[in-house]
Amino acid sequence: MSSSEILLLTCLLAPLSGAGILLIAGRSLPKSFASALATTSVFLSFIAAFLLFRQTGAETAAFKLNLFSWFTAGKLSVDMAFRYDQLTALFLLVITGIGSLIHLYSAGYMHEDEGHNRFFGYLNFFVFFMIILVTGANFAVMFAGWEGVGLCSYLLIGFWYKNSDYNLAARKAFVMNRIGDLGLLAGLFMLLNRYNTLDFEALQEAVKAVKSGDAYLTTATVCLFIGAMGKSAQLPLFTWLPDAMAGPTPVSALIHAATMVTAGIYLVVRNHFLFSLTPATLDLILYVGLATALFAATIGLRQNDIKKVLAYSTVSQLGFMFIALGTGAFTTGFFHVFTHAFFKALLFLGAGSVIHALHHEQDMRFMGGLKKKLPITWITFLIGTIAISGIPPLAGFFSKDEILAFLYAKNPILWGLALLGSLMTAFYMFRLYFLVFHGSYRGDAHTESHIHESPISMTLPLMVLAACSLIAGFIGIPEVFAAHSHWLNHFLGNLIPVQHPEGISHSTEITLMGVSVTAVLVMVAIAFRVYGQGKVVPVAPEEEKNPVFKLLAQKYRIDEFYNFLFVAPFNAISQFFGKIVDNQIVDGIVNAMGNLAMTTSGLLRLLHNGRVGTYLLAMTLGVILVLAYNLIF
Amino acid sequence: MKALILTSVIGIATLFAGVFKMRNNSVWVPLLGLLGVMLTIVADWNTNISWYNNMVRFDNYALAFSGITIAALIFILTISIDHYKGAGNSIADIYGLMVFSVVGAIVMSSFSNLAMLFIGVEILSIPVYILAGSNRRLTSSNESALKYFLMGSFASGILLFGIALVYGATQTLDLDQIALLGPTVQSPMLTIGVLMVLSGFLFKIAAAPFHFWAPDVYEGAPGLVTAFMATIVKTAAFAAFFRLFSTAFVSEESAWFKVLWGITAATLLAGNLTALFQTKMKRLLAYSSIAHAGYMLLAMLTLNKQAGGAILLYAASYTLATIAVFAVMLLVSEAQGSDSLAKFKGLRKNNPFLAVVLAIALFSMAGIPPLAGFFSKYYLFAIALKSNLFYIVIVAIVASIIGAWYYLKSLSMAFLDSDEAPEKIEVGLPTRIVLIACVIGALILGIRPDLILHLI
Amino acid sequence: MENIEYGAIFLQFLVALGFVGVTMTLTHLLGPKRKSDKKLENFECGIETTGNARMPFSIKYFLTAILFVLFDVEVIFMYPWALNFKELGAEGFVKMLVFMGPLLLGFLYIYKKGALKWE
Repeated sequence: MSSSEILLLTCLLAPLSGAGILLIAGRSLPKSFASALATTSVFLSFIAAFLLFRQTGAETAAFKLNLFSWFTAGKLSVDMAFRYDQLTALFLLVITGIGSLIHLYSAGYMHEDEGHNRFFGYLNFFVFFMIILVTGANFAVMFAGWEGVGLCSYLLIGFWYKNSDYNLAARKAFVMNRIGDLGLLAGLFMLLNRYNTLDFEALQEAVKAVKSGDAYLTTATVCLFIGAMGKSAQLPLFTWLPDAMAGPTPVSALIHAATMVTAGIYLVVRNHFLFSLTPATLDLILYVGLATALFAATIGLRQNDIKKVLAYSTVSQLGFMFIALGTGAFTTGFFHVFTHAFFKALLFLGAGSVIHALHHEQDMRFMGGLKKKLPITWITFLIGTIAISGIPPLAGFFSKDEILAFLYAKNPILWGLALLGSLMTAFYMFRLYFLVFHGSYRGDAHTESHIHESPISMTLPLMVLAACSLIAGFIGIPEVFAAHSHWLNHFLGNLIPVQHPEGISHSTEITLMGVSVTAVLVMVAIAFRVYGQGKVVPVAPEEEKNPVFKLLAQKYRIDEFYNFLFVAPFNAISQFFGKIVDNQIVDGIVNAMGNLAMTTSGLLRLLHNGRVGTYLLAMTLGVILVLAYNLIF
Repeated sequence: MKALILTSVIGIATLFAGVFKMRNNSVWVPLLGLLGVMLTIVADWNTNISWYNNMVRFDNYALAFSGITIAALIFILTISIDHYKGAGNSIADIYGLMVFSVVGAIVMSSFSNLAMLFIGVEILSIPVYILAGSNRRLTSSNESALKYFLMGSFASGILLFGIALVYGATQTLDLDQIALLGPTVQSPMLTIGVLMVLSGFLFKIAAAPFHFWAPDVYEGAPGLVTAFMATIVKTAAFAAFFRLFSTAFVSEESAWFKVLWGITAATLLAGNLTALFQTKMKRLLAYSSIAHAGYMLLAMLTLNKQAGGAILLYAASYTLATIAVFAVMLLVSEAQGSDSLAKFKGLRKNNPFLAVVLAIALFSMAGIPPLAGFFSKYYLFAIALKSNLFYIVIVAIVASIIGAWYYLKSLSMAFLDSDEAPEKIEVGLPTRIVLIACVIGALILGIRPDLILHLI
Repeated sequence: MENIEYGAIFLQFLVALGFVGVTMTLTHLLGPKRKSDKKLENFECGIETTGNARMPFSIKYFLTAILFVLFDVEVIFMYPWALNFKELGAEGFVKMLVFMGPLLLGFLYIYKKGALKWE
């Protein structure tokens, strides 16, 4: 086994062993040990990932680690195999790097919680499955990771299981994801049916001869995309993500912002060779992404719960990533995943720090003026807000701008819509920022007296993430500024063909940047005018006068719509089947069968009377029967 | 061959360990010796040598089945360290008899001559007759021994008669020769002989309607001996049965196939249905072992060489589960004074470890994935379906549904809340090791059934 | 052809059964019937019976007898060996030793076990 393979195995097994110890023996371990163990195991994983990354250049060939043959059925043979290439390298860095920061943060955030050790067990387990997901060398292994992270997400959303609303949120997330998974499975089976393999490399070989726009492949990729829609919360399967905020805030940061929800993007990027053959699917992805980005952004404008705003912002940003994928710019899509991971994790953790300081108050109407009391949180949160709004030179600007450039090349009208979406992002993020940190405190006095900055274990991750949000964008400096400055394109170049926005001159590109940056700054100014002084305070959705704002505050009533369209009829049908078909008809038949078996049993039992003579007679009759059967027939 | 000789020597050594007053330590002689035998089996793997003018042939089939019976004996002996604690010197005789019986099992899985088959059957059976009566003070044990002896000698007689008729028809006892000559022989003597041999075997594996002895004998015999009969005797009988009928008697298939078809169906139904009403664990396990014989008979019907692997897998997973259930039952019935199902009520409360082991073992027996029992049943059904045995597979599936009912019923007892829950039962280290090994084995065979399936 | 042979066996079977049946019926019908105590008593070589025939006797008789039969039967194997001693040569001698070895062990076992002790 080579050193690279050992490193990859370490990367995989460290969180698994952490999870194993914590989930089996967690109850009897002291809290400090549990959090230290969990954090160390993920950090170990990060070190391994970093060492692997150090060995990897743009030209380095991918390597495969084949552990054992997982299962064989007919012509299909699936190996428990892992693959390490440039894409995996970057994903691993993000997962384990942000993962260890969030573990560290949780040590402070969850310190008082009674389920502390269980929490860290789940979190380690999640990291393990996430690594499986991005390292799997075939669809089957990836799917195992895919389902594993879904499971962990479910467990962590419902972590505070004593609250039944949270359990419902967890269930909703699970069901929505299952709908997506069904699509993913269907796509997977279609590929399997045609190419008899699930291995990514083999598939890439197999589709080489396929013509662009092949109908079968288009259907398969649409199915795969449905899977991505579920996991990455795209229209119409996005409603679970805002509800998933029921989980502890570190979970929201790690799972529902930085890593798991980007699995859908990973799926598409990993299989770019399939998607680039199916332009129709790419168009679908583009429009779904655009619609989601706009739709979620509008809802984000009128939310009062600090985490809900961030959740809708995540949905909207995921939409932007899909827009990039839809234009065929896979690297750009990944670029946004990369930058978004840092600033969104930062924002969530910052929000967590605020919530922690305010004793689990999440409503922004009862916040305000916190910048003096929480200085570190304030500064880092401001950096995150600037980054997500797309103001240069912070991380968000580079990736978002690249997406907009690709979109402009495709169609200027779409560019306009996307720009609108990004302006709304800037607006609601600064609205959030001003409401929380500026003005004066609006909560009760008792809470106010207890406001304090979070401990170092929580602020340290904030600072590291803020630093990353400042610089992460420089891995993709646009080529208009300097030739060969786009390191990411170069690094992934061998794996994913580099795309350039076609038909756009350098001057146009610079103009576009100028327009978008100016517009964003204008939006910030407006937000400051409205909310910066702390005079205007949002109202509860029920008291909202303006019908449009009310609709936005009520999230377009989309949950109620789904309830009416799917849940209610489904309940009616299951009532019918449960009460009548099952209780009356099926149970009747089953009970009749059971009674028959019992009656026969009672009769057969009588044959065993304990007398050797009877038994011998039965045997003799048996021999005679055996012989007679042949003599007669 | 090394295994056979070494096991015989171990048997003698065990007897002398008792004579020379090794007292309670005498169990280590067979235990360590049998571990050595396992090593020789591994060493002999893939050698395929026939001995003494083709009287026995140690091919992988023989080695694999010998291995399972020896492993089962190792488990049973390990449990007995706790179970027979404080018993006198005569305990070494019981161990010796068990080892000798396994010598018979080895002969039965390696014979290639009908004479060796009969000798193997007798070496296997006679010690078990004595073992069944080894609890001399108990009337039920004596009754069990006598019944088993009477019925067993009756069956041996039929088997021997059958062998004689086969010899009369073919003028040979060699399996290869019989397979060669079989199709050319016109005499009905061969058919009748084959059918009588079949009847003899059906007795040994307790298939309906030759199964009446099993519940009485199983119930009366001491617990460990019952476990011995349910695992080792049954496995050996199947090893011999399949070895004989898939080679030498294939040409007579038209004569025995339909009969066996009917008997398989009858066994599946009789075993599972009668078990429904049982209130005692031991008797329930007796009927369940009849039912399991029915599943293994399915493989016999396929006449498929691959079926050997499926039977091996089934025997292995059945052995693991049975030993675990028996071990738990012994502990509970010792503490509670009875093996009635009601005594298992609330086992979970003070003995969660035993309850979980019982659960896994019963789940495996009921055939619930991902345990070994599920995959072994699955492969049997799959092979049967491949051979177009559609209807019998339906019968088997119905039977296994009925089976699941009583397994789960007895299991639910253990997990019910009850005021009369058994107190904390002390589980000795050896028993604990065996229980954990059985559970891990059931899980491993469930996840990687091909480890055993493709051995032979 | 075969059926005819079986028919003959069947016929003989009938004749045998019929003969027994006919004879027993005839003697029953023809013979005079006298019942007396003496006639209904067990017959034991002409002497008056004393005590119960089902008297328990020592298991030791039985054990010794069984052991005797066991070792006696093994001796049978030595006759053909002794007759062909020269032809079988050294190999035969070794094989006989291998046979006698376990037999001797068995003897040692029953001796140590105390099976031969009368008291």
